[in-house]
Amino acid sequence: MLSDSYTWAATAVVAFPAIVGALMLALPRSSGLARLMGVLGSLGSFALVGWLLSNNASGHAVAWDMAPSLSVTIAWRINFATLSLAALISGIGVLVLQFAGAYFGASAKGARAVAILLLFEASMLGLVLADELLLVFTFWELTGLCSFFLIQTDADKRDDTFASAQQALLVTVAGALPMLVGFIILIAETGTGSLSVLSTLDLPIGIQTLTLALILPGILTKSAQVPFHFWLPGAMAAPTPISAYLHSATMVKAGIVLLLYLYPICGASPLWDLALVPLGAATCIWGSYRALGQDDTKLLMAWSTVSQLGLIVITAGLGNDLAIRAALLYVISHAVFKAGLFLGIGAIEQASGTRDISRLGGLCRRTPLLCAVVALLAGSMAALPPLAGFLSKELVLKKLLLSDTAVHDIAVLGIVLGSIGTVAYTARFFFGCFAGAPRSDGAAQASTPGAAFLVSPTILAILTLVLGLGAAYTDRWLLEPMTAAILGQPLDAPALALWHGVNVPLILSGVILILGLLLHRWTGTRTLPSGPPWLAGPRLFEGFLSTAQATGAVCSRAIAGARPSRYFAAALGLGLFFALPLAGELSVLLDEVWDLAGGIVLVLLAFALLLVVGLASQVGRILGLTAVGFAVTMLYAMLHAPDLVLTQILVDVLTTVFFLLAVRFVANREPQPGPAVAVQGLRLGFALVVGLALASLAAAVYRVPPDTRVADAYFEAGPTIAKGLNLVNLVLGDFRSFDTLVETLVVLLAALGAIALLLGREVSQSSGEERPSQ
Amino acid sequence: MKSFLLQELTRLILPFAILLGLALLLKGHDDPGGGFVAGLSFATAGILGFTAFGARRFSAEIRIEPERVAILGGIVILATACLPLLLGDPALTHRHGAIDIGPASWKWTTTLVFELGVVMVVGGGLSAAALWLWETPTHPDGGS
Repeated sequence: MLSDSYTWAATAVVAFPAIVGALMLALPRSSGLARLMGVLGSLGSFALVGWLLSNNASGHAVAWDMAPSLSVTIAWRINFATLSLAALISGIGVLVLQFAGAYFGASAKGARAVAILLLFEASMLGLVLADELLLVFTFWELTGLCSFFLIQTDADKRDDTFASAQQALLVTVAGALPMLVGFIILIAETGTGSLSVLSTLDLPIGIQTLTLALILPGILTKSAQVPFHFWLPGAMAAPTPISAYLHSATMVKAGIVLLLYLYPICGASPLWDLALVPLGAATCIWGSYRALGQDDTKLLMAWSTVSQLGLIVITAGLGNDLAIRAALLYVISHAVFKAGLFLGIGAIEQASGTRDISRLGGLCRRTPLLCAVVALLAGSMAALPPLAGFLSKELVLKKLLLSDTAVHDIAVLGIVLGSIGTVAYTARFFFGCFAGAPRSDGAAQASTPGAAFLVSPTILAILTLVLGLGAAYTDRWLLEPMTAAILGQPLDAPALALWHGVNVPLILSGVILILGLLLHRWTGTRTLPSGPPWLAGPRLFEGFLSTAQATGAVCSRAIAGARPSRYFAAALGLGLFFALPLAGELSVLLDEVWDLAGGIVLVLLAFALLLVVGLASQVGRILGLTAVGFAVTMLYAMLHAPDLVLTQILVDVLTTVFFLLAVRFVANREPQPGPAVAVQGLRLGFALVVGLALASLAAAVYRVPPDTRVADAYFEAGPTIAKGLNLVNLVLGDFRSFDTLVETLVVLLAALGAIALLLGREVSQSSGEERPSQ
Repeated sequence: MKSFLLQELTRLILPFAILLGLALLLKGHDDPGGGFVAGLSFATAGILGFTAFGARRFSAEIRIEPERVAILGGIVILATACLPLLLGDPALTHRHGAIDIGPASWKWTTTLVFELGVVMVVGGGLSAAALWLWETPTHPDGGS
């Protein structure tokens, strides 16, 4: 348990950007302040995280025990690893929001995007800090939801934004559903949903494998692994700062972060390397290949992100402490250089008005400063020394050479081929933008963009340089304690250094670099085939969607198309099966003494029923039904049940009104000939049997002495606990108020649903369409 | 089908119907009544008004849009359900007490707020559904 001030600070880290974002959404007129508020919102979180880090805060902070028995608790896991990730997210958040403020200008659209970016940042911070699995899931879905809205920011300019946003949302949400089941199984098996507790448990391999198998779809979809990767390039419909933040630096890392968190929990499962390494390798190679074929630099970066995520998944999949360390370093260095590169592309766009390689070129001479910044970032991506990317790639290779798992060869293949591709597409991007002659007027007249566009990429470029140059410090101050915090034990590993002498990883790096440059020379600027069209992700996705809709239509036709009387018959038939053997119980009716009043009410009831069955007009039958209700009310009155009397009368009146209102919609149909006499006889016989069975059931129930324990408990608790005398109402409003809550919401939804149906009818009529079938 | 007699009777009855609803709500803790029944009686009162004066016109005249009342009611019950969380209690915890003024004692309970939400949802929702059923033309040409 942590001290209160730490708990509050951790809560504020998540809440602060959310509140600022919500305020901006609530006050749309503040769009002039968007840039300032965006930066301040992130800066607040960053400062709080920094304060927590400087105090060496660590532990389990329960902010709010909402329903502890259901494992619904808002609790933060505070340790060096989660705080460092939070610092990374909020730090890049500051830079991206600063850039976004400049990129969007003072438009209402931009203010809205900045506000949602802040909400996203809050969800992402919550995701890395949350201790409870259910809380993790909530934030996980919130990030996806924010992404859905953010992808549509440019809805006024391009018409593919909704489709892209929908695709991204559906893919990740669908993946998250089995993940939720996995979380629930973990909670049910262990009795706790707390990550910090779960990390210390030693679960049976079977449980580890089962939960991992269920959680993996969530991770693979969120982190854009083959075959779920296609939503990420699609998400490039979003403006550049949003892509920089969500779709390269943070959200797509959510899956990886969860994977790292899960390592101490299900890392011993054989599924860990058997599933992660091949999928990661496929992603890494395919992403590199597709990045090589792109003309749009932003799409190139998106495919590059896919490839690098694959590389991280391979590394994590190799599954031991060293691999976790390498994956962590790669997460950090990739977040830094990829966010910087996306912002750099935004700056290139600002400078030259385009971001297509075929229309760029020669920018180095026009804007040398931007060129230098992007060179550093791109160098880091291509793993050139002494940048952070080199350090992380080196660590991955070293790890690779040490491991001897069954999937080792696949991992080598994936990482080496992926890295060669990475060097090649980085060269394509960098030389395409900055070298050679300008290929369009925009590029020829490009000028260095304003400082607001350069500050953030420059800081990120410097950061990638510093992280790499200070390798030993990066390791000692950042990487080692983070890995130890995730694993829950200190790490026994050789220290990281920029220069280890000439060893195998270094030679391998050199070979990769040379082969990558050769590959770049060979591909040149040509576009590569994008693979067989039937294998293209979006098409598979569309196929899946249309199949799902068709299946749904078939099912609902099969189930909902039948006449109501058939369901009725089925349900009753099942009931009869149990009720008919009780017919002997009917003798109890003969033993009873019948009083006069009860007899009269029963006769009235029978008469009313005859009206319902016998009358020809619909209105008449409805009124007959009302009469039945009133007769039942009289029975209640004789049984001394005033609550029931009151309710029954009012329900009866309202039912009549609604029936009369609804009957107008069917009253004008052509009169249909009544059914044949034989059918009517059959129905009568059926009705008699049903009536007899229900009466037997009632008689049988009547014979069983009631168990009064529950009633007694309520009688005792009513005046003492709920301080009331009307037990019926106390049960509804107090003892079982959760039931009432849900029931009331059902009433609300039913009313709104009815209105929506009627509205739809009105709209289809006013637009002159065909009348909906009844 | 606007009849003078019905309109005058409605003017006469409506105040009592509203009083009945309020009484059912307030007395429900100790005597027969409660939120659901009170909501039903408000809905009945509303529908009586619709019948006498025309649904839209009545709704405009009393300046109440039943859909809004229903949605607001939903918010009220969710808020009463969640409010105890802020005080550190489990959701839906109700509080009770009594205020003594001289010899008179007035019992209060937060259940009443919860029930008020139920009243709004049931009364508002049913009236809203009735209103829309009323106002939607049954024929494409707008007749009924």
